Amino acid sequence: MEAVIVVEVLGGHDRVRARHRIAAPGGEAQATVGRSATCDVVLDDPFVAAVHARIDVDGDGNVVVSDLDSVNGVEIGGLRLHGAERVPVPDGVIRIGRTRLRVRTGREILAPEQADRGGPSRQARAIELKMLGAGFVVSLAAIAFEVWTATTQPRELSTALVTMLLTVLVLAGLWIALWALASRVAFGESRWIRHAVTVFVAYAALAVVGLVAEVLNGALGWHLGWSVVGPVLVGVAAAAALSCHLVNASPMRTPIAVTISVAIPAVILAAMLWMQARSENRSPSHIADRDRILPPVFVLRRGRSLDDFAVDLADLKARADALRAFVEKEDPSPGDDEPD
Amino acid sequence: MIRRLVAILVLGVACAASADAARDDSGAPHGTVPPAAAASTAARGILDRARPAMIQIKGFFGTNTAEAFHGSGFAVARGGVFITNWHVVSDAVLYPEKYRLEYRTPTGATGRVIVRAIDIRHDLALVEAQGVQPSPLTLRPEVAIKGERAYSVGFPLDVGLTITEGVSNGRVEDSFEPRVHYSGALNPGMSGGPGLDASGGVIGINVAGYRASQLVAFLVPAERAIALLARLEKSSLDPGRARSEIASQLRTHSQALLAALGPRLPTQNHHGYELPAKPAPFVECHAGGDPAPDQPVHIERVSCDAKSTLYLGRDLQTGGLSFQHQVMSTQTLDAWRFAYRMQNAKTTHASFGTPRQLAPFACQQQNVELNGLAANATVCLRAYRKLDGVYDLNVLVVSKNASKQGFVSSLSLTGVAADQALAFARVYLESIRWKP
Repeated sequence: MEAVIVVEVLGGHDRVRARHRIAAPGGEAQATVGRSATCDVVLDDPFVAAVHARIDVDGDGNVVVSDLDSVNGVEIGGLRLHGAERVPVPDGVIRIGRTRLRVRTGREILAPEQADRGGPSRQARAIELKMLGAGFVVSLAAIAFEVWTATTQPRELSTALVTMLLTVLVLAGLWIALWALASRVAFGESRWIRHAVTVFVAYAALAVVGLVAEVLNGALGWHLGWSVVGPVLVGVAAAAALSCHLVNASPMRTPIAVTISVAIPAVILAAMLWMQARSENRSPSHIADRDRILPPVFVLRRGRSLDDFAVDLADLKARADALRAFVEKEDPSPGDDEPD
Repeated sequence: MIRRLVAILVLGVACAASADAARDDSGAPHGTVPPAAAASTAARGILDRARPAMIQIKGFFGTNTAEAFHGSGFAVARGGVFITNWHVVSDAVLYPEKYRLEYRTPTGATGRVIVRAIDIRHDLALVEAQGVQPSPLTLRPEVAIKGERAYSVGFPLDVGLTITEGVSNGRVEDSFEPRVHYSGALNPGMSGGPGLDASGGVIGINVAGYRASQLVAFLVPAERAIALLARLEKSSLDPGRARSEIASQLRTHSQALLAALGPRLPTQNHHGYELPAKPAPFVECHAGGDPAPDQPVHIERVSCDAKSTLYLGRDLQTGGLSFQHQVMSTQTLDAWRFAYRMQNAKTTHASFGTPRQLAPFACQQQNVELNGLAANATVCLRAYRKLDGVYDLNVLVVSKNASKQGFVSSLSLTGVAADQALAFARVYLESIRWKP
């Protein structure tokens, strides 16, 4: 039976850069590796000797490597060996100079052929593209809605809209490009679509949830402090987006990526809210506004009567006194600042 | 535009000409005053009579010999009792461990000054100048009529004893605090000096002027000095309890202010909204708006101020009452964008104060029905850190009843007892209604 040995020269991300097939009519096949043109596998690597090593496949199909008195030796399973003589290579991967080689034999067990039914990858890509389309459209609509809300004149609206959309698209493009670059470094593929889906779906979800929450807050009189709820929603969206980006752009395991993605926004959010609370708790000019003014059609609950409101106000003096005691304790001698 | 009374404060003029270099035996500065022959004979006589009773009051920070501030004072009772303005001596009363007061007579005698009684509402203080007991000037209890010749004496800008000649324009109309309008020059440093009639009787105490206006100045009527002297006979100021005395006087001031407004506020209809209007003659109101016809949102602004603010100290003015309305409407904007503008008008509302003097606001915000009008109301109260039982009130009301019109109204009442503040918040809210 003919013995066959295939030596694959690997590049970044284990991609095969070159493949050499050596067949021997007898029971054993062998291939020499080096820079010399006389070798079976010729490498263009200055750290490789002219005739550097020999790869043998014995009759049982085992791969063994011998060092042919090279300066740098051969590396097998992470160990560099000098003057190795028929050393077995269980996983078939060796390193010679700075080049990695994978040795395959005729006895290799292959995975069965997959039936092509359009393929799960093609379906997944179709779903990804749909999500990207939806996220992109909703994000642009949300930005356009924000701009429309903030302007009163058609000319003002068109200028602001073009400026805002351009800015957002450029920023989103840069962000996606950075992550794509990271993916390329980590996995050798850019995953543009995945990162774009992440950005636009996260932004669209944030915009929709934020608007609905704000309308409900005003309509039902929930008195949610928007200076807290707003940053928390942004934090949640950022954590979700960051996990997706990290899973797709770094070789770290998913639980670690998710933990990091939650921890970073959580720490920033906590620091921000702490600083905000600290300044608001001590500022004599801060007046919290918890109710958004909405068109009357959104107002679903009647307001309290003046008598009921007067009852609500009964403890205001005690609360003001408590705040006075708090600042006297926490900040007994504030600086001589200008009125703020 | 609200014109603010600018107190002729002596602060910050210490770098003006040196008092020693600028004064001769007659008390007039070299070279800066016209020759005596050119001045009116009457003024010379008035100054001769007032001079022995006059002192310059100087404040010093810590152990410094260079002054921090100065003002004027004059004898009003036997035994070395002088009157001056509260704002001349306020720093020394509020921070006795940091400031000390001294006097200097026109003849150059100096000594210690001790504050004996204060009246922050009328900006007066009675002080004892140790070691000098001149004959007091005569206080005239009735207010000088309009057109009567009047004089003012003091130590302006540290250039020596000075007399200015002018005319009394009688009691200021529409002012919460009693004031005599003196049409004559009154400059920083003259605070606490006497305003005199042609016979040398005291018609008032120099207190303030409009800095940007010409010869519009004010005197505290002499009747308030007489009242403070009567109070001094009963009790003298305990320096250790000065702040509680100030707090008490502040509450009394605000109580009088609210009593003068009455139990209900008058209203004016703005496009269907009945909103508080000028509640008393002394409250100054202004209204205006953008006259351009094609604005997407039409805004009318009304602002009222009781001009009752008192000077308590260098970073604290209180005792004021003011309210503003912004009445908004649109014909071209949709309900959503109009509501957004109402929200913005609401959040630009602010109330100022220094962290050293004031604690943060405690607020209650609710959607309310004001006589059937859907609105959002925020009522806030903050305590003074160094004055017991004194608070600032802030009320913010925004209408929610209509999709293309509405109002944002805010009220600020400062230096008031909490129960009175909350009672007035209710009066304010009760006055608002929808009456198309």
